[in-house]
Amino acid sequence: MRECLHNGAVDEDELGRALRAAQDGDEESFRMLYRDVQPRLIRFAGALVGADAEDVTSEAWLQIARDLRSFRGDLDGFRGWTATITRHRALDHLRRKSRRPGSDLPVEELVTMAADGDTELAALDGIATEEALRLISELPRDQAEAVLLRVVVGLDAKSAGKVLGKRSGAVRTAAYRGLRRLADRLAETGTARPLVRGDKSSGPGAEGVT
Amino acid sequence: MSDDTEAGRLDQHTAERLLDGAGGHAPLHALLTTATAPGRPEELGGEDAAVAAFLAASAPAARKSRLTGLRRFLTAKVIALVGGSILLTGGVAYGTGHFPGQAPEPSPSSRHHEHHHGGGNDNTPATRYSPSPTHRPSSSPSASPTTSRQHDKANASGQPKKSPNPHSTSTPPRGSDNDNGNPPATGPGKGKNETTRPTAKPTQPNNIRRKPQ
Repeated sequence: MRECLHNGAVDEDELGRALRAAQDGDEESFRMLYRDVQPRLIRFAGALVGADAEDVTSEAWLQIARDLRSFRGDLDGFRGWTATITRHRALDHLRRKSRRPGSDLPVEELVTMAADGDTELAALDGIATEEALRLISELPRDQAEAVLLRVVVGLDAKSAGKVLGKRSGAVRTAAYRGLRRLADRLAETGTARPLVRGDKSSGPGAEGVT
Repeated sequence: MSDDTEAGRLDQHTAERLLDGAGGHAPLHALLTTATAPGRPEELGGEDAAVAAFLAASAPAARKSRLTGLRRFLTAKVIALVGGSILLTGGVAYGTGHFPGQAPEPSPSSRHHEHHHGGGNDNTPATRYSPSPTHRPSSSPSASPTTSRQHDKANASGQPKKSPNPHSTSTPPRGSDNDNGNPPATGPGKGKNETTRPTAKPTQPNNIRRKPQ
């Protein structure tokens, strides 16, 4: 399992206990869960609805808060359950808006590259979390969802498959293809540097416009 | 698609390791690690709204369950009270010999007659006499209260004497024609038992009745 996204560096056991306590109505435990899960959900939702991710996760949390007592499962199950709810709300949102935000932006505008960085790693040092997520969300949607559910939400292939309504093998394949495409994109931008924008928050790598 | 053109750059095993959070392809690993950075304040802006929804969802559920518990508790108390009072009054009747059909003196039975013809006091003899079927089988102590009703019915079918209410035939065994007024006395008693039944499980009054025996 990946590291906790909670700012307070809460470990998984503590979060598991918080889940039980929150189900019994404990507010502080609910806040602890929120701080761990919400960053995962909003990043996952961002790949589906772009800038509307916050609205989508707000809707999702209304349902999570309402149905938390009836949820049965452990912490991993809880993350999968919340991701499923978030995805449904995101798809509802897309149906309402009938569009897919974010996909019309070329990835080069979103990524800040190092000038003469001889390694891609050096280039990535300048990429803030937001840009990394945008890079992932540029993947075809099934690949982006698979990568985000595995990496950011922290689910295994089987749980991610449940969220997506797919078999775990299909999720593995989609995630694999997504990573390969990401690697390609990193290689392209790292060597060709077609377009670099230095006005993002990642200052260290912003100076190298050719 | 470039998926296949760069196949050599990333094999499936490495991809799985990356997805599990382990190292491998360094640039990709850095990208994925960045994507899992701790939550930023702007991502957590909806916390209070979520907590408000959480508290709103918790409160009615707790209140509802508390009310349900209270209702159950009160129902049980009512059942216990009714059953206990029936038993106590029945026991008093048994102790004082104020049984329908049992008393040889005319005065108690005539008093009962008055009650029945009084009309408004029907309930009092009803509660007083209804336990008598449960006590009367005490001459044969093995009869359990739950079967006493069936026992009464068996008696009813076995009784040569006619009674206006077949459910009340537990009283006539020792009764004479003078006690014609008594069978109806047990009749309303049964009726009262039946009225308490919808508020409780049918077996509970019997159980409560059994305890003091």
